[in-house]
Order: sequence, then C-alpha cells, then structure tokens
Amino acid sequence: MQRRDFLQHVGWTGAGIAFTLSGVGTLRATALADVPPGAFNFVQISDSHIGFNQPANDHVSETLQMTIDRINALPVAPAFVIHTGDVTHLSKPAQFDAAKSILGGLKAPLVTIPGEHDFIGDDGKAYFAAFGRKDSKTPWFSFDMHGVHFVALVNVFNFEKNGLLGQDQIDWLKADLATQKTSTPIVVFGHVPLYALFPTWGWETEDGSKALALLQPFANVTVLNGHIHQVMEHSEGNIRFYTADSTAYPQPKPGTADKPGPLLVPSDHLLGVLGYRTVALGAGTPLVEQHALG
Amino acid sequence: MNLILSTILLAALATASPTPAAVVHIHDFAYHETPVTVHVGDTVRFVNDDGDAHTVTASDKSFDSGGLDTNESWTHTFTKAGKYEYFCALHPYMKAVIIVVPVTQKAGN
Repeated sequence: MQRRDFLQHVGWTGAGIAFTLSGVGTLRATALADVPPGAFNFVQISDSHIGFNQPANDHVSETLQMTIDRINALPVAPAFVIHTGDVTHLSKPAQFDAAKSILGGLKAPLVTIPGEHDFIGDDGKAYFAAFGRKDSKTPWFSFDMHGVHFVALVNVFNFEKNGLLGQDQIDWLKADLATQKTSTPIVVFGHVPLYALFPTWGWETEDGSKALALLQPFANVTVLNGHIHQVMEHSEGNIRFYTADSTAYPQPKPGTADKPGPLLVPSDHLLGVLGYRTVALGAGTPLVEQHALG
Repeated sequence: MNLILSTILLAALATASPTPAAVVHIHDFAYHETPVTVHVGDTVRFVNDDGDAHTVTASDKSFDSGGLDTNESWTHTFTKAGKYEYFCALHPYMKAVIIVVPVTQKAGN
C-alpha cells in the first residue's frame, strides 16, 4: 500500500487527544475524535543541534523550521511529534530558548527526550527547565494511546559510559512493562541506540541489553532513536530498531571514517540527508518512513 | 589619580588568567598530549581545534568545561596533587589524564 493510500485509509484529523495522569507519572491519552480502530500515526524528528554553526550546516534553525513546516503541512495531522534528543548543540540557555520557539510552531503536541548535547555541564538542568514534563515524577515516562504503550527513556546520564540507563530506570521499566499485556504493541523512544550499533564511536547503550531483555516477551516492539544522524534498521527477535536522520547535519556511516562528527556534504545534497520520520501504527508491523527535506 | 590607576591595575591583574603551565589541544577527536604533568597551583589551558564540540570533564566530577565549540578554550587551575582522568561528555571514548605533582617534583609531558 502506498503511503498516500495508507494515510487516506487511516485518515483522521488527529485532533482532540486529551492526556490524563494515571499511576506513577504515567500519561494516558483519551482519543476524543472518531479514530478508526487499529491505526494512527505520529512523527519523529531528531538531532536538531540548535546553536551548531559549522560548515556542515550553518543554518540549523532554518532546517528545523523547514521540518516543522513540512510536518504541519502533512495531509493527515500526526497524533504527536516526538523529538528524540540533541535539541540543542551545547545546552546553552539561548539555544534552548531558540529551540523552544521553533518547536512551538508545531501544530501537533510535542514530546521530547534529551540527548547528550542537551545535558552538557548541568546534568540536564537547562533541558528539564525548557522541556521537562511537570506531570512526570521521573525524567523517563510512558503513556498509552490508541492501544499502543509508548515508553520514553533517557540514556544520556553519565555519558562517560556511552549511553546508560541506570538501575533506577531499569527497575522503573520493569514495573512499567509489568502493567502491559505481551500482546500490546510497545514503542520505545531513546536517544542513543539501545543495542551495540557501533561501540567504537559510542553508538550503544551500556546497559541497553537489560532493557531489551524486558522487552523481548512482547510480540510487537518498535524502538526509535536518533544520535547517529542517519537512517539504519535492525531487528532482534520481535524488536525492530530504527534510527532517524537529523534535522541539522549527517554523520559518516559506521567505520567509513576515522571518527564520527559532522559530515560535510555538497550544499545541494544537504537537504537530501535531513528530514523527519512518519510512523503509522496499525494492526501489524508499523509503517516507518523517512522523509527528506529535499 | 595614581591611587585610582593603581587600584584598577591591581584589580585587572587579580582577574587576569594566569599563564598556563601546559596547553592541551583537542583535535581529531583526541586530547594532545596525554598524560600531561603539572605542579599544584598550575593552570592548564584546553583548546578545541576540532570541527566538532567537545568537553573536558573529570571522571571524579571535580571539573567540567561545559561545551567547547570549535576554536573555544577553557582553563583550569589544579590545586591538589593527584591523577585526574577526564573525558569528553559528548564522545566518551575520548579520554586523557592530567597528573598534578607537588611543587618539589619535576613536571612535564
């Protein structure tokens, strides 16, 4: 099924989602609109690095704004937009202010998790001041929407050990997933890949295997992350992993360069490697698509 | 007038950064050189010559530069002897060491 046909099939406005707090910091959503059973969609964006000003892209605010405009113009409004971290480049207050201003232009509700670039020097204090959820007692949280259980993880604490969840978060995840049936579709958000994608460059979560062990019993698990600024897919059992492009600049493919970092591409190619991702959730495997800005 | 000028000069001297005993350059996603040995009371200057941002973050949390963008620098004065391991909080495989010795011992790279 082509995307346009799928969206027409799914077709609903996405309006009227009411969030209510239940349990320990758990958000639940009540769909007020007439949502067709079994399908809805949301959008993922990532790695906007507001404040970055190097040759790889010295217009990161503009490319984020372009992304927002494209999302706002989608024929079917997403239920929400998840930003999977590195909203800013250096965690500076002015960068958070600028990011918040641009992201505030989204028509759809915004959900965010932090990347390591949002945690520089203050363990996330500025990030949580700008984007923290006042309805959650923990930095990590979950919510339910239309029969899907969403889990938003924070794996950039103590970045000396690459991505790291920590035992408190692992314990919370265990308790959170215990409330779900194994047939419930699970969607997990994290900034750094939860599996060992390329440890040489720090592209892994040290204790990610503990989280994945908790997710393995579930029949349908989708993990979305950012961090590596490129599209990659991977699967382990019933868990499917998708990494997203950045809205700011690309990075080299693993092992194709001496080091990671901003990859300079011809200026007329840049928009082709930046973009956003649509995720359509139905009865089966999610339809995950990356959309380039150019 | 002379008193005022002297006061201003003293204030300026008090706030000026001391001459660094060592300079660590960051390029190609590595700290150059490591280890560096300095005396207690010495200041070390860290200069980011790389095309990406980095940090100078102590493993024991005793110092943290915050984000250093390209061409930015940061200085830190070491007041206690010891072996200080540090890393980049953005690229944790970047690791290095500063060794701080009492003034009676010889310092150097």
